[in-house]
Amino acid sequence: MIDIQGVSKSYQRKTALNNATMKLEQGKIVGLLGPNGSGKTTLLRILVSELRADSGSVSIDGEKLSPALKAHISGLTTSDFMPAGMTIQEAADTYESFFNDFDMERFHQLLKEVDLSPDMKIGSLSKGMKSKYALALAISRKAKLIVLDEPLDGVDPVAREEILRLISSGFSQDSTLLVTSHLINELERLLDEVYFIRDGEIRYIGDVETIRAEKKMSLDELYREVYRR
Amino acid sequence: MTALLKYEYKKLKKNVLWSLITILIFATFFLVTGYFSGQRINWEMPLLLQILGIVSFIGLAILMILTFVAPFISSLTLFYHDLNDKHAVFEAYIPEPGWKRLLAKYIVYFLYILAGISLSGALAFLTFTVIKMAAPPNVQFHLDSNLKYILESPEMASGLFLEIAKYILNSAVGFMPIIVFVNFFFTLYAVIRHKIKGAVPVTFLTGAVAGISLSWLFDMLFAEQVGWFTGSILGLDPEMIFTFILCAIAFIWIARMLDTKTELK
Repeated sequence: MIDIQGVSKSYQRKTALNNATMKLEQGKIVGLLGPNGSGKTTLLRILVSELRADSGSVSIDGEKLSPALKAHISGLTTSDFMPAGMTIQEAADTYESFFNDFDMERFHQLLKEVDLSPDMKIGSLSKGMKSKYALALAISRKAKLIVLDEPLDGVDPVAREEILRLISSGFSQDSTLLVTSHLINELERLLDEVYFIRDGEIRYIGDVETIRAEKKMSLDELYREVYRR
Repeated sequence: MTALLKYEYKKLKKNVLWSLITILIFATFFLVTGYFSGQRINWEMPLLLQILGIVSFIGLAILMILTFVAPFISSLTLFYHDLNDKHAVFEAYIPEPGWKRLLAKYIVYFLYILAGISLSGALAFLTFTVIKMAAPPNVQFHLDSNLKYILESPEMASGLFLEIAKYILNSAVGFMPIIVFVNFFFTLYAVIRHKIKGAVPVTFLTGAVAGISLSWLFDMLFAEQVGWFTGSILGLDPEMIFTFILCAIAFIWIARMLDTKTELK
């Protein structure tokens, strides 16, 4: 169980996240959906220790966020985080040397699925290719929590499809996946649960199947309805 | 720790490989031109050869200074990049405590500086050899016999090599407190950058005040003692011990900030 309790974060005087609270269960793909600048990335960057919360706490199975706990969190907040001179294989080797839960075999399988070769230089990859290789790296770890920030952002529709396929085939039921996007429609079919976010305020919406059955509307329509009021 | 050291080494290799190759190419060029133009240097030889000889020796001197100082300066910037570049994101993911990450960096920086000083020393030796060849026969004989005298006496030869090794080690150790000091303020900047509007000037001012205060404190406490590069850094004199304690405090503080306080852009 991943427990995010009352997390707040401000950049000088601007509040980016206000008292964010989420409970994420194992085996679920959870979407944090909202427009650009709503606070999604800030929360994910706090989870992977790129930023620090001003207040509140994050714990995984009761253990508070610490350098040791990073071993159980696999993050992807940017696809551009390895030196451009490295090959995909070298990046994977670096991952393997730091993360005991990294599964090289699984990584190679995922690479094959998206037509990437381990000997490709990272610097020569297009934005879409970079997103795919970085995603393969992140989900090849058997981490308790996997966070993906805007994995569909800035890539063409074909690459988007491949990324969605990659997430769904690479996801293990032993993990919890928290994924953000402002492209609500595209991500909808992947999600088990959903939270909406606007102006740093997080709102639990519920189980996606139940929402569809009860409200008979898409998440995108629901988002518009929730924030129109 | 091995994984961290390997990772730091890979980053360093990527950063310095081309600079090292360039330095070696230039050094070889200057040594060869210095040898051919300098060995018979006199006012009757063609002007172009005279200029080439002079340029070669100036070039070698510049390369010596560069190889001596550049590893130190790039060790400072490497740490800055680790907190600010794209790969800083990956470093934030690494599930190792700050002290281990920092120690791996400092081991690599120290070896890098040591290698730079040794390379500078090797260049100095080769330059000396070329100059010796260019010297008039009577001076050449004098230098040869002096060197022969030193090398023929085992005590003097081993003493000379020991002194050179001590000097190299002293110089490398002498750079480390400066690196720790500057790194402390790079880390402090990464802590306050999202909290304070003028984080850059605030960090700079804090660093300047701390630098001046420490310099004043050292003057007060150790006024009678000699400085870093002339004194025995490897010996356990009070200044050395005091510096070591300050570095240890700064190291622990930086490591703690890396674990719980630093934020990326």
